[in-house]
Amino acid sequence: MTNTPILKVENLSQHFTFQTGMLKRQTRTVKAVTGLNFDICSGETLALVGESGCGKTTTTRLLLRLQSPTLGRVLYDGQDINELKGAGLKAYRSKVQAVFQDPWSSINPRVRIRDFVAEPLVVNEKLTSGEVERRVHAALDAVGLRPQDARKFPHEFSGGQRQRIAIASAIVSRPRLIVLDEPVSGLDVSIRSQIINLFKDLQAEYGLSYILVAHDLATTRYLADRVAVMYLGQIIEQGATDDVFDAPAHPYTEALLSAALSADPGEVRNEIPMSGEVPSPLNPPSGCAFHPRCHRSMGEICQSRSPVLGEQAPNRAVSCHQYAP
Amino acid sequence: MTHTQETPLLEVRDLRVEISTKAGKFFPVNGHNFTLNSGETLGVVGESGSGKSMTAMSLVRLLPKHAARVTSGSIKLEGRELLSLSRSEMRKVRGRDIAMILQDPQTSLNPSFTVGNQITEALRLHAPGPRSTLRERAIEALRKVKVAAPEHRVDSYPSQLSGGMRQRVVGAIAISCAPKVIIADEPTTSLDVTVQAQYLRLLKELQEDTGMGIIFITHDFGIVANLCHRIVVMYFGRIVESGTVERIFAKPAHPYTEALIAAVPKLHGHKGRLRTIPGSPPPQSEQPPGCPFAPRCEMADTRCFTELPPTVDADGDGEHLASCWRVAGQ
Repeated sequence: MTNTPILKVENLSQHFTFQTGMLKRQTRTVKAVTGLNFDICSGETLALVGESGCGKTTTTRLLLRLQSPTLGRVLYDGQDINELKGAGLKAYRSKVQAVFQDPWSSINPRVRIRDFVAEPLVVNEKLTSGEVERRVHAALDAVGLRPQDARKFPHEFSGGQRQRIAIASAIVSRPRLIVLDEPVSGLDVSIRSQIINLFKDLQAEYGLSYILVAHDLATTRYLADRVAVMYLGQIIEQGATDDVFDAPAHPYTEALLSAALSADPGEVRNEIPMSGEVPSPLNPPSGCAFHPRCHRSMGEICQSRSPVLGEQAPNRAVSCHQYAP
Repeated sequence: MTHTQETPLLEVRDLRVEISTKAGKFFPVNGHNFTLNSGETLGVVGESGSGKSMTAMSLVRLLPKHAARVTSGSIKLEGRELLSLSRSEMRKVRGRDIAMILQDPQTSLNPSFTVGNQITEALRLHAPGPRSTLRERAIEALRKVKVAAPEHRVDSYPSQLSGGMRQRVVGAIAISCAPKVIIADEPTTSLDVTVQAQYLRLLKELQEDTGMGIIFITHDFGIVANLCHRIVVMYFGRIVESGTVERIFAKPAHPYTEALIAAVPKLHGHKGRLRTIPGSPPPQSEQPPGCPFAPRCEMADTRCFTELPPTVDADGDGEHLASCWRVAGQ
């Protein structure tokens, strides 16, 4: 693992405004994500963890340049991706790929596997048809499918094989970073472990970086080197996966991890009950967004001032008043 | 309730469901035997297509008409045979004695009726009364599933509620008639971990209060380990192993169960390579003569491919059953 970040996210924010009220005169703002800062180095896996609505998906969409941020920048090799045009943008598109949750809806049912897998090459690179063919076969081989599968249609494959096809299409352009958005949650248990191992193998072989979004915390722990825990659009804790899982610093991380069920009947679980649900991002609480549900709230300061994400230990950042009085 | 320890709450013997299609006959439920006692949670574990949901549907006799039917076996609720009941008698059992919680609260609630209306639907059928009483009981049911401000929520429409809240409403419908058995078919798959934990805790508390039996259909070993007392593991329409949670996690007898448990990443475990099960389950149209798991089994020998293994007592005390030649041959 080298330490040069391939992607650097600086103060990234995405706010959506919309008109409401009588005659649409009122303007309201949803802060989907606010002030994100993180790096992804080559060969490493960064996981985004949090409940639904915390901004994980918005973040991945910003990284894939499916949306433009309201504020902040995403730097790829030092260049702002939102300023890329023409050849530069095509290069970015082929070097940053994605695998999504549902292999049944992410593959066009009317296209042969060969054409589906080859699409990133055809769109973003200028190659001869022989070269495309060779790359497609190499990608299918890397994910454990046979060359003759290239001629088949998606309906001829099971869910696990379809996910392999989606992965083949993601790696065919030799990307440096793949966004994995719930890549195994639609799969059966026995297939899931095959795909998880495949991600690890591909990473070891090609030095790929992953950004993982998964609600299953055990899978996250297994795959990720570092995690960023998100709550209502902000990163509230960040650090090496093992450090965060073994000794969560932020009360929210603590409560979230305590809610995860371990597949071990002998394990004693001390669940920290969180009251209520995630507040609406339309109407976020004052001060620290987590204070109404926090079991370690310190009262006044938490209600009135929002904490800053600060270095708590080397490579470990927490946004909580307890650590920065 | 008059049943004693000897009569289980629910007893299923040799249950078989047949689906006939032009391509032939399939058996999504093939010779099931299991029991459920009151106050007990039975986990039904298996992958998609293993017949979990068909098992649930056959218990309440809601199999798709014309396509699937129960061909043999018996389902006894407190000693009363459900398979011989008439349709109108069965309607009285459904919802009152056996209730269901389905996977997706989005689709199991009707978007055009209020929550209160949908809770009282079951009450109107099983325990009719004046409108004001029914409303009171709907509010009571919402309070039991810990919905905040139930007096207001009773008039809400499903779209006004969050996912976790909707699943609570589905739970309120299920418990509104104080059923003896609740069949929960993957009720927490679409929920966040925190909401899932709240929901499972709620189910446990309701069970302690009412002594109901729960059949929990899931593929999540985390839920099984934390919630269930006993498990049945299904593969290709058959129960391949059954026993107490502790026994099965500590000493799985069937290679499929063993591999399935080892394939799940652990929250606090080693980070070595995950165990995988090669291949995928056979399509229902292929009915192998031997053990259906044999083609994916690392320990299979020739007999596994030709003869179906019998269900045998794995530990010699009747608490742990498995159908595998490796156990039977010992």
